[in-house]
Amino acid sequence: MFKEIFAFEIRYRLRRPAVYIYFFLVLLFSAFTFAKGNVPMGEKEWINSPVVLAQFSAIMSIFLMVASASIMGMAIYRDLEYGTKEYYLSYPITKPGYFWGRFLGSFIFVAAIGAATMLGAWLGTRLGPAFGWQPKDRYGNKQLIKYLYPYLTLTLPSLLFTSSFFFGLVSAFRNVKVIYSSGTLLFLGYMISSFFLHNSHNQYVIYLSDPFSFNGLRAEVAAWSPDQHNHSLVRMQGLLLRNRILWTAIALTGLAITWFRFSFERFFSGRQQRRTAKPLEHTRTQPPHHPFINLKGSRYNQKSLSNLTRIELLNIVRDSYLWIILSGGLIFMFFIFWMGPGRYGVPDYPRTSFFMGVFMETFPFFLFLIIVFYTGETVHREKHTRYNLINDTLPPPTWVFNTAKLLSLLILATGLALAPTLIGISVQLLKGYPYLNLTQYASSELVAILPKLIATVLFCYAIHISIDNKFAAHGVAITIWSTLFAVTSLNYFDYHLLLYSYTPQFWATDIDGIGHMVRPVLWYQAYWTLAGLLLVLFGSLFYARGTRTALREKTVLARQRWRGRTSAGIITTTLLFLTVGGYIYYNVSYLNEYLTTWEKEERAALTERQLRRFADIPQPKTTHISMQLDIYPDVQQETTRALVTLANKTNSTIDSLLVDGDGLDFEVYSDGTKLPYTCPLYFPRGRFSIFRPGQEASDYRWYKLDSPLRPGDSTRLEVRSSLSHPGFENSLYNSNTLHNFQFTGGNLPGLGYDKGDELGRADVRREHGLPKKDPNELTHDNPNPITFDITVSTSSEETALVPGHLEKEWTAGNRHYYHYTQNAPGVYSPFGILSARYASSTSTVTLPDGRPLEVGIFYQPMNNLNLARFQSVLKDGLEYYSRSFGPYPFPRLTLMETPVYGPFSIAMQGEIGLIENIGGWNADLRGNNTVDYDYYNTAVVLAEQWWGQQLAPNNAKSSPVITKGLAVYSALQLLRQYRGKEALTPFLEDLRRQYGWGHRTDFDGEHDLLHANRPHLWEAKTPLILYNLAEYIGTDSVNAALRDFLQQWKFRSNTPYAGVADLYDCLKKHTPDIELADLKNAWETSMPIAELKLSGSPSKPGTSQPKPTTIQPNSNPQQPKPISSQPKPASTKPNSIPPTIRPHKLTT
Amino acid sequence: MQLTIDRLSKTYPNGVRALHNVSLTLSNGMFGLLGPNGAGKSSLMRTIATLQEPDSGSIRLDDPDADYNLDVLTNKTGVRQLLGYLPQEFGVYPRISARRMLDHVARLKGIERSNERKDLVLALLDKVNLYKDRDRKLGTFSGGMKQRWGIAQALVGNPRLIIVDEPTAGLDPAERNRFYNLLSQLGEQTIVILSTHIVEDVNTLCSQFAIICHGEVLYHGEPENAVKSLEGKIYSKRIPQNEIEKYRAGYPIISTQLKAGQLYIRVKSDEHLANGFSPAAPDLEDVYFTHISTKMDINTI
Repeated sequence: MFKEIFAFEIRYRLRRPAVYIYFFLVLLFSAFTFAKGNVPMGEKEWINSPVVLAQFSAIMSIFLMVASASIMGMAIYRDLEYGTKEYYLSYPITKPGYFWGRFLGSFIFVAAIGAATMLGAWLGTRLGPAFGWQPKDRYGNKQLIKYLYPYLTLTLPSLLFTSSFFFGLVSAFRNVKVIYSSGTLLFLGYMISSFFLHNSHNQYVIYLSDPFSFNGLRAEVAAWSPDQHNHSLVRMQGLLLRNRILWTAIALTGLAITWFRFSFERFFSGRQQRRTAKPLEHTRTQPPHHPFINLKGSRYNQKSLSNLTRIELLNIVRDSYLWIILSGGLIFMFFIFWMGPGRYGVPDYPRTSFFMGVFMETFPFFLFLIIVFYTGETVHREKHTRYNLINDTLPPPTWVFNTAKLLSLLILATGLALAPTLIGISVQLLKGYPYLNLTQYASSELVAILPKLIATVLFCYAIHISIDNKFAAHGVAITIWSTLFAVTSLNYFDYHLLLYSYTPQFWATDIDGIGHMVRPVLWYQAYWTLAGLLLVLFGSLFYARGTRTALREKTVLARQRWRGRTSAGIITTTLLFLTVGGYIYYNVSYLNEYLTTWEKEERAALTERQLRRFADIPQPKTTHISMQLDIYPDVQQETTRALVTLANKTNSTIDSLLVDGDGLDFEVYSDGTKLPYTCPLYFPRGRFSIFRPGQEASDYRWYKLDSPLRPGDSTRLEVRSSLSHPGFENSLYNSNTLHNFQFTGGNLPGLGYDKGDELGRADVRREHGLPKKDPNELTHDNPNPITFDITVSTSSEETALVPGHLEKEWTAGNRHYYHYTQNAPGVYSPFGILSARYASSTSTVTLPDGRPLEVGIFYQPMNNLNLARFQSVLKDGLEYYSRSFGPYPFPRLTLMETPVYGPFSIAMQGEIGLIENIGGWNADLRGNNTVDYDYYNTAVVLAEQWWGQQLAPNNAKSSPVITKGLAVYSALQLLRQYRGKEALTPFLEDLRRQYGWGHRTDFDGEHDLLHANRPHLWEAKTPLILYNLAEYIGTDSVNAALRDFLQQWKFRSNTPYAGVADLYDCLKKHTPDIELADLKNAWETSMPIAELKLSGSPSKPGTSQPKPTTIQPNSNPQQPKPISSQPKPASTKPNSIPPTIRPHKLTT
Repeated sequence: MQLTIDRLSKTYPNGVRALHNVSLTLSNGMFGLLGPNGAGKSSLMRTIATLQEPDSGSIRLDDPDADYNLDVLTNKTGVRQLLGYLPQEFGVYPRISARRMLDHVARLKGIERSNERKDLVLALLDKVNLYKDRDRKLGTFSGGMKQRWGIAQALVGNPRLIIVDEPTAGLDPAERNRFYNLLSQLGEQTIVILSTHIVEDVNTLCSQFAIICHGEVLYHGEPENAVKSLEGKIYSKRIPQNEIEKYRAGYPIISTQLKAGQLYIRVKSDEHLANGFSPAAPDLEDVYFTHISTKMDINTI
């Protein structure tokens, strides 16, 4: 009996398309992933390293849940759905035959689909080099065991777990919807627990609690070297093995319980009606006789519409599975909102902009799934129950039925859209956060969330009324939606006019709300709503009531309907759609020029090929700027008139200038006459900009000087420029010129060829035919001090900040004027001018030398909860750094809040800036044992006033060792001095983590500090080594060395500028002879930090500190314990830097 | 009132010819549709009930008194306002009571006043003998009860055109009678189209009927006339079972019947038959088989 049922099941499955579709989707996805190398790995690791293969297997087994749900769910439900139960029971089938035949006959396909992951991965390693997507040497050997082992140990047990789970659920509940809801819950639950696991240090919990073993795997390989990654199989042993055994046992137990509880009678007959209807009294009545009801002219249609809408809506909300899925999602959302973004385990205050941002990032796909599912239920309800044969002969016109369904779904969508606001406000009230920011809620809902969900509903609805089969419609809708999602999130293509429901990206910011992006986003939303309406209109045009209908008949119906109001409606909607689309196109591809990623890269490549030969031609330097800058926040415009003094500091005569306009609209004048220029480079037109001229001039211009500039000569040129933005763009634009907050370098063009604009990634360079880049090539010039005299005007409510001395401040009309000068010693470029509607808090700090210093904090009124903390760290820092390294030389100190569109921090002379979202403005540090990272972050940025603003290092690749490394070191010592050694632990841990990640992913090996070329060496290794040195030779000695270094090199205005070697010299002078060898090891050899035994970085938090020991290579290398399974350094990188920030291009 | 079906044709995408040049004219009263399985009865009824599009042909519904002039194929909403339809197979929402569901139908059929609707719903449920089960969920109904509920919904709102597709399938004899009485009561104001496999029912109920086979109308007229036309032309004979092939070769057998081991055959012949054949009184079944046998093999043994 088993054999027959098993064989029948296999034959049945083989004839259904579903298994093939799943198999090939998984195969294609895996092959593509490995062929393209889209896997998480370090640069030194092979794309198909055993670790990557194992991790890929684990992740895919989570997503294969979909396949196991749909296959295992249908294995026995099929008999209920098709009503075969009526006679199936009459056959002499046995329970074991039926149960195991169906289970195994289906599971074999789940296992086969699972095998497609590794088969695809193997295929990908062949295809990648064959198509030239990845070089051959990115792949390691192709041993079979590398693919087979993870399949057998990771994929298969996980699939057995999910399969038994879904099979058991269906046989217990006799319902297929239970799979949707439990699948969703399992998925959400998994995400929540993964979140927990990220923050857990309990190895047992991390390893054992995860049915897919993904977290355990990550912990297992966290400390592995690239070599291990490439060559060691992730063996199932210890806790990993126990995990596999545990979850296989759970799966088998579940299956056994299902087996013992399973009975034919219960499964096929279902629950008996519990309540027998009470007998009702019987009175004979005659049907009243009504006259014929003429439905024309009455308000019948409207009444039917509201009636039907109500009923459809009731059908949706009475579905208990909706509430199960929803409550899962809502709990998940509440959880995310409640935890908030946290750094160092410290949550943020619950800010509205965070809620809206994370909602729009995380939830739309989940909501899409709910919407597509209930659209299917709603549209196909009558057909599914076969009530349609009655329903479709009832008098209401088709549009009434369709509109009722559509309306009920739109009401559902509106309810879903309101969820983040309701949960957000509850979280804020529960946490006692005072700033609800209702405007932010309202604007995010109306501009982004609601329109997106409306577009989602219209899309799903159109698909479902166009495709008669509910499951086919689900498949089509989900495939299209996932494709859109993948294309946009992997940045394959981003022309939003062609990506249904997508708009330019934007952030909800505290400083400016959605700001100027409201307009473009709303245009796109209107466009997509119209598109959705059109889809629905066309769908209903072809919609047939009654029986299933062939396309031919639908065409007949459509032709019948194509008249009167229908055709007028469709034509009007089409025209509106085209008009709005045309207007967007006009903005995006006519007023502005949209370029694909490839085109942008190609332009950079062209520029490099054509102009790189001018990289080293002599160019003058700016020495003084006299500028009038007018900022108009309302219209996001700025105009500049500047007199720029240029000096020839080279040894040759300069007769022409290579000017990099960087998108500015500008002219150069000499003695009042406009200088003519020529363009050295033209680009071909972008392929989407068909109405723009065939050639676009590049930003570079050649200006011929009236009289050549001899060595040592200087000249003055006038620059008139304006910054304005016609229309809007395909993506975020004007991110430095918001309505509230402008940040500008004065809008002056740059001088000379800019190596910083060259393509950096090796694979991209290869694609565009560029030679490999020398990793140690210098991309910047030496520092260049300039003096200036700047008058800024802005709107009356804004404050303008310039790194110089404020000579005068006045208002005239509704303009606010500031006159700043910078004479001595001058400021190292680049510098920036900043204006915003700030609140401010000013205090006076007495410096160690007795000088009073005005310290101002400029912030958004809503982000004022940590002002006192900032004030205290500024005070402590000024005091400690002045005492340790030399007095603070600038006339004031200003800390400002900057918007999310900018970098994490800004350091300019006398001015430091921290970003609004993760800069600590909203860290909720009210708890007792919280990590005061506000203090630390601010201390780092403040230290750059010494390392960077006073002492500008040379242009060597390693120079951030001075600006970044010394700043972090200084902050560590400040924290230690004022907060005690204990307070350092999380930051030291974090630095080690940052270093470890960088070291692991570094592509060209560890460098010594003298040649440090990567952020993890500058920002993590340097301070860790210095801190350790201080532990050993004493903080005072290290600080004294740094003080010497600073005093020797500060405020230089000519080469040579300080280099890392000079720093090393100073350190050597202050290190006793017997320790010099160890110092040398750390600075001159490329020994990774793991081999330099360091103190002060305990591997186990909470244990007593080990005694400081000398730095020496450890003969018995021991891997440092992973501090956390989190792969990325969490400290100084903002979560998300928008990809489209225009660099603050400044004069050089 | 008059329903005119003119040269209606329909071929399904899988090649099955469901209707072929069907032309019929129906007026008030009951109209029976006879035909074997797959003859096109349901296709025809669904097409009239606006559920399906024909490939060609037209259907009109005219009533000079009430000034209707409906093209059934294009003015579907107009037809639906006059229509009561009971499909051969249909589903119900299992978690809703008979009464609420009927109320919903009544509302959609334009009965807006709730009192009126309530009375109507209860009276109809009473008529189909579901009154005492009115608050039970439809999902708990037996096949016969569901069928009766289907009848009730078809009668909501005084339809002028009633189409019932094998309405008595699954009903016990008492319920069947009750239903036929109900249909008969509907009076002369209404066109009732009824499809059935029980030929006798057509004889007793219908003033007009048609026989359809392979999508074609083979006969169209009044039952009595049809039977009359066969008078004197039907002969029957008892034969041994093993001789059936011999007889089949020699006579146009229209039906056979096996009773207690003996085989009775009926033969239609315009000439007098001897050879043991005895004349028999024709009935409507003879009419049915006579026509069907021209189109298909009706080898009943």
